[in-house]
Amino acid sequence: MGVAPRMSPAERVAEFRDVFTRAETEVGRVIVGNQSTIRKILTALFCGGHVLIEGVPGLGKTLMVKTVAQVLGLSFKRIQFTPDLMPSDIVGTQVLVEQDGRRDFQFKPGPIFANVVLGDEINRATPKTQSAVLEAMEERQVTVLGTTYHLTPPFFVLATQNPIELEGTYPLPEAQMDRFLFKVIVSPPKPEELREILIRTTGAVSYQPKPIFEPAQAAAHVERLKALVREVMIAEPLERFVIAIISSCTPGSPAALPEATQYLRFGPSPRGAQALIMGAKVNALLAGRVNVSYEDIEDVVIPALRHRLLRNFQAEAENVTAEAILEQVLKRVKRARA
Amino acid sequence: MANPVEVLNSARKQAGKAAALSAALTGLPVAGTLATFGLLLSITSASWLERYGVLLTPQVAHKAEAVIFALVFLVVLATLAGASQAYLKASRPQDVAARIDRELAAKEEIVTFAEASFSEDSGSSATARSPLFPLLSDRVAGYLESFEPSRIFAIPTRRVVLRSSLTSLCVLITAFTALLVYARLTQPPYASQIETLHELASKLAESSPSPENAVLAKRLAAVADVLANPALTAREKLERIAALKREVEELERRETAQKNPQSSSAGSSGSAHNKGSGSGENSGNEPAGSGNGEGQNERNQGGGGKKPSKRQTTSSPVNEANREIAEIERELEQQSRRSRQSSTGFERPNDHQQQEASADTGPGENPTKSSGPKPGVNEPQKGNQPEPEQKLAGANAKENLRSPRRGTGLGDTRLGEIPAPANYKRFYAFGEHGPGLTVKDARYVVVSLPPAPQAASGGKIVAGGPSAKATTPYANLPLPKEDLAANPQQQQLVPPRYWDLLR
Repeated sequence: MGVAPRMSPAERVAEFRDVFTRAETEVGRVIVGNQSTIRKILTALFCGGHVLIEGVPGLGKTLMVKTVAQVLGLSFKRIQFTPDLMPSDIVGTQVLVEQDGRRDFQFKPGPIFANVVLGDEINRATPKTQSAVLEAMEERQVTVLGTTYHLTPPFFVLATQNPIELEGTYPLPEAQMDRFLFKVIVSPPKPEELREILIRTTGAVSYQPKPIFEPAQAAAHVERLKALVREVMIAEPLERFVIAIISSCTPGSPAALPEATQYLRFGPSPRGAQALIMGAKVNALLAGRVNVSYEDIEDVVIPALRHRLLRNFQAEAENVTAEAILEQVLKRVKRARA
Repeated sequence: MANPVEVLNSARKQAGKAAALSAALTGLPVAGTLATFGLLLSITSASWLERYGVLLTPQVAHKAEAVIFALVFLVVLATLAGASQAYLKASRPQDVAARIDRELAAKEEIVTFAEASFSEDSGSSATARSPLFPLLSDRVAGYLESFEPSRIFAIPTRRVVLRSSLTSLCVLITAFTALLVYARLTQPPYASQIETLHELASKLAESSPSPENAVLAKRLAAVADVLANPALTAREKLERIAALKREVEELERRETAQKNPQSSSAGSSGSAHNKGSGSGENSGNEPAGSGNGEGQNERNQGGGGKKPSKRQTTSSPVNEANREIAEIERELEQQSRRSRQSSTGFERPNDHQQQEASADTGPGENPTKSSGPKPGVNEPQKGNQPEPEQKLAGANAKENLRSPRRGTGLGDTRLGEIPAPANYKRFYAFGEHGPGLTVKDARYVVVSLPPAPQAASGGKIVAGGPSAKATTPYANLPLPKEDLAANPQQQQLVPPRYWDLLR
């Protein structure tokens, strides 16, 4: 598929829907189940955000990310985070190179220099290493020995973390958690899905996903689609709706819900509101609209905000999850809107 | 395809119109109700109920009218302001678009379009400049193609009428209640009686231009003023009214005498037991009729008067004055008694009698009333019939005073009255009056009776009937007023072991 610079709005929207649907279908041919997770990952990619994937080992998180990269024709790198991983192992380092009789330092880029980066078990690295990813994720650039290197767009980080093996792990700091647009949970497969997984993975033939874009033009295509997402319109009442959601789960805010005041230490930052609107815009395009609706926003509230709510001790003691609080928030705000 | 901006504009106008009309239809009936109420007040104060003028004095009525019409003006102003505000609010593009969105299930497309289309007015044109706007415009035009603003933004007639009716009803009830409460709060006591006295005075002055009537009319007016005077106590008012009553009776007697000079014999031929002299109007032709004089004894042996030949159905102003004064007097007595009760906490049994007896001038005499039947209001009585209601003149002097309606044929309406139960203090605290008496191991107890009580007003025992009677019917001395140092709680305390004894 080539780039068509002169396209009508309707054609651009149709192209977006087509690309998204095809990518979803292709990934779904490799990954069994978890359709909503795949959709959220693709949504975040077209929003220009990063995704934190959480799930127990063996659910296909790494495969899912690798497949997404393959389908879109983007470059893919994988970083296995371990406690002894150093920042230079991620961003790259200067190496002494002898060339033509001269010795000179030359920058050797790390695995962060890719379109799609999978940070596997990111919570196993030390905070120092984790923070090395921080600048790359937000600024889309890395600095090595005073020299700044820009990352090639699109830059998409998908980090996975294991929620059960907590010994020897370093939980992600709040600042770094906030960098992720969505946090998605990979759920275990149902019996029928498990059977399908077995058939696909234990047979002689495995399915190889077909890339939608040519690798050379994939980045440009994705960037164009990302620009389309930002053109989607949102009316003022819907912006107020987003603000109401954020305010409702911010302790200390006048509009905070009692549940938020009782169970939360900190609420979502403005990045949370941005994530809501960007995710809603992708949803609007997928619905064939060029404007955001309330349903589009409500669909992304939990993945966009669940990792931005910092629960207090009482919430942990009473096993009150962030999802439960967000569901209450949605109910209250929807009622106020009605 | 319809231009969505034009459709939205027409929808805005329709929505504004509907909101303004709804607001006006809610407020104007309230103003109308208030205005009608004010007009009714004006009309009725002049013509409607006679009592209305009593309820509201002209000054109050005028003030109320002024307040009501000012309220009407304010309500009209508020309604107009509310209607214009409702028009502006309801015609906001975002609100109209949101309403259409909900009606057409357009997923906020019309809201977004409205904001983008009308954002040039407000200065924020971020959404209007989106390259995707033409697509949105096409989609909105598709939604609005078959859209009729008058269908969605119709005036909710039923709801508005119901709301305005309920509001008007509430306003009417509130206005009536406020008026009644105000009238009640501002009405002086005895307002109706004062009004009646003034009317009687004017009637009296108009009926005959005699100097007596003029004087009586002035007196009636003076009594009305006395009644209206808040500085006077009920007792003082009673005294003034008693004086007036005597004058009225005198005038009545004279009037009767002038009308029927030949039949003014009456009660002088009454019983020997009676000193009261009936002056009944006995102008009939029936022979041997007996007058119904108050002074006749129980056997009704006197027969001097004649029966009236025809019952008079119309009452003279003097008679009316007599009745009205008696009514006022009765009410004043009740009020005086109530105030005494409230001041002392209990009514002593002989207070009332002592006061009434003090109005007597002596045994057997009835200074205020011992006359015969009043013209036109007495029922014809048969002679020689024992009348249990009638008593000896000496004994019923009190009753005469207490029966202001005597002569009206209604009889004594106060026969059922008994003294209110008094809060006697029967128990003393132990050791309060001297050392405590221990009767636990006593074999017998000597009780000494107190000496015989004397009549409080120094009344004397008179003979002349089947048995001797005291002029003062109550011989018991009033209980001395207790002023105990102990608090009431302590006074009432009785140890439980004595409860059976007390029963």
